[in-house]
Amino acid sequence: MTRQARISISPNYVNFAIILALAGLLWAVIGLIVPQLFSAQYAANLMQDAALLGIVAIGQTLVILTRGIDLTVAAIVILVNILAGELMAGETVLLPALIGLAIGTLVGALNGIGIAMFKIPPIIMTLAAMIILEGVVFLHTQGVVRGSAPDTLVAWVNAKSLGMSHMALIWLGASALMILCLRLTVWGRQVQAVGANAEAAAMAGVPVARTLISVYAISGFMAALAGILLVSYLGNPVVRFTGQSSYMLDSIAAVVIGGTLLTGGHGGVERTVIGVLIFKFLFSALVILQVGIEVRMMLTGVVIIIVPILYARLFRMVENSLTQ
Amino acid sequence: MEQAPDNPVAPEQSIGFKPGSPASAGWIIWSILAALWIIGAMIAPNFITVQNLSNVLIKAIPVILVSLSQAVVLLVACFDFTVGSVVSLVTVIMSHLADISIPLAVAASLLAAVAIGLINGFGVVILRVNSVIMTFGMLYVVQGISFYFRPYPGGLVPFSFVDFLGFKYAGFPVVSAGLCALICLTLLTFVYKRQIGQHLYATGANEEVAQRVGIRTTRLRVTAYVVSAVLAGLAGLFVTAVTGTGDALIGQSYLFQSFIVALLGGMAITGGRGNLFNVIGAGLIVATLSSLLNHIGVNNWYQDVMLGALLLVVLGVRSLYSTTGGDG
Repeated sequence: MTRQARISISPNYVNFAIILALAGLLWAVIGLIVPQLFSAQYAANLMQDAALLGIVAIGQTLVILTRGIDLTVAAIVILVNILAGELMAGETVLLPALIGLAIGTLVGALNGIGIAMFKIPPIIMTLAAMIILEGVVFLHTQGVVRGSAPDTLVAWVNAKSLGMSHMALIWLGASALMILCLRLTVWGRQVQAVGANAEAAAMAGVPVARTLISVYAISGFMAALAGILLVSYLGNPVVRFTGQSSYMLDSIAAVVIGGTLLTGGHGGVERTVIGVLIFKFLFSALVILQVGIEVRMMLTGVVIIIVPILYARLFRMVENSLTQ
Repeated sequence: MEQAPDNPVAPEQSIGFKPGSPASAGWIIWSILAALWIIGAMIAPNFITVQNLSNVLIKAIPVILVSLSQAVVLLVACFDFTVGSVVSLVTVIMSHLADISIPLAVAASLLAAVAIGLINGFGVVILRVNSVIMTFGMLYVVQGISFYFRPYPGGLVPFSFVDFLGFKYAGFPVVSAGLCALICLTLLTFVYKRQIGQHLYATGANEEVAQRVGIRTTRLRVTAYVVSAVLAGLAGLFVTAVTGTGDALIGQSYLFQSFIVALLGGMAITGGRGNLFNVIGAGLIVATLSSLLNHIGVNNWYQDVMLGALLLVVLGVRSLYSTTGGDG
């Protein structure tokens, strides 16, 4: 076990270097086609634009690392942004935010319990939970949103420190924290082990059910955090996303583009940060080139299918050449 | 037809139903259906009328077809997330081409369905993409195509098409009900009276063993995906006949319903178990339940929430019964 772990560390770094190189290449190619994207102004906008998706994608990464998938994230973002807006009512911040985070975590934990204890496949469990949440949101709002975030909060979320928007700082901070937890804690090792082979992990004494529940709870927490930031960013809650794209599909695509494999146990949050940036960069280039939303939707679908195959081949080649 | 075929491969570990396992209890599904009708007759005075029966039937036809579509793929231990988007795409194709020629539009719709089924099947079998990811990605590809051709609901299907499928005799939609029964009978005949059905069950129950006894599991998986897509396409034709327009989003709700009905009907998520005949019963249950709730005045959104909760309860209870967990 320890020997294998020592061997597998080096391909991990090589793989990450390859992902960075590919991202740089893509950035250069797109930048040449759409030169407007090469400005400092645009770079700052990109970070702000990517922050919410990035926060949701942290949780999605953990779930995908355990060979699962979380379709509830977008529904949690919407639910929490509506509830937080109503509870804040333009005045309080702390209590509504805590309630929102608690609800998101609870929904995620319930997903985890269904998946870990009742052995419901993740895709079915989270699909059903998504339908239930969407129904609850509609029944509660009847299509009309009330409430708003306090002006001071809106101003703070939209402000910048160190040349970076506060939303982007929260995203990078949460990502850094999660990277450290995954790399340095026992829990992080357990997440990787469950994803690589749940049965073997259980035999080795890993508390598989507890690990899965924690992973889905964190995903729910991150989605709730994004929901609170969404209402704080816009000032008022939104009932549904405009356009057909949402955090559900986009977060999966961003994780996949970053190089976390859908087969579990291979990847990490540092890759997802890169994946989110590439995804947003690519899509803003498509917007500038006036490619319609339906074409972007098709492309995202193709990306989800094709990119994991290519990465899996690439990683296998790296591993083979390093171990020989 | 109530019994699953004998498994040529490994009776004790694959499709042999365990006594007490919900999958074997087809009679429960049909009793629930009967009970719903009795309850309906008691609490809602207009429930047992020709008009209401006919409405339930019209609602049930696409639900049954998409659920059978999902069930065929579940049989070989795969998922199909494209069923709803195929329904949408067919309504869009019909809304554009039916003006020119109805047979051409129907042929184009079914060809598109076959193509989607082939791509799904080849992705799963040859590229070895997980079936969830393959069909989830394809869902957005197909959805994007529908949006490209029909960004907003619209277009008009010729009345001759609507009138033909909607033709009623003594208040009953005899043509669409008859065609749906024909489709179901053909499918059930192939699955339960021909060898291919046994091979489907064997592939889903234990692929390795099935391959070892000479069953071409890859070809069967592709076949299952094509059959699934065609059934979804046929459902789309019936939906078009009811709405008369093209709508790129109309199929969305069918995706979720296909899972609920197929799993309520006793299909196992891990493949190789369940009976398609009972899935038809489950489809009738969901359509009846929806009509009954409408009669009592329950909001459609409550119905979605209830169905979602029902699905989770059924799967949870089943995993408690099952020794291997969650496979129903």
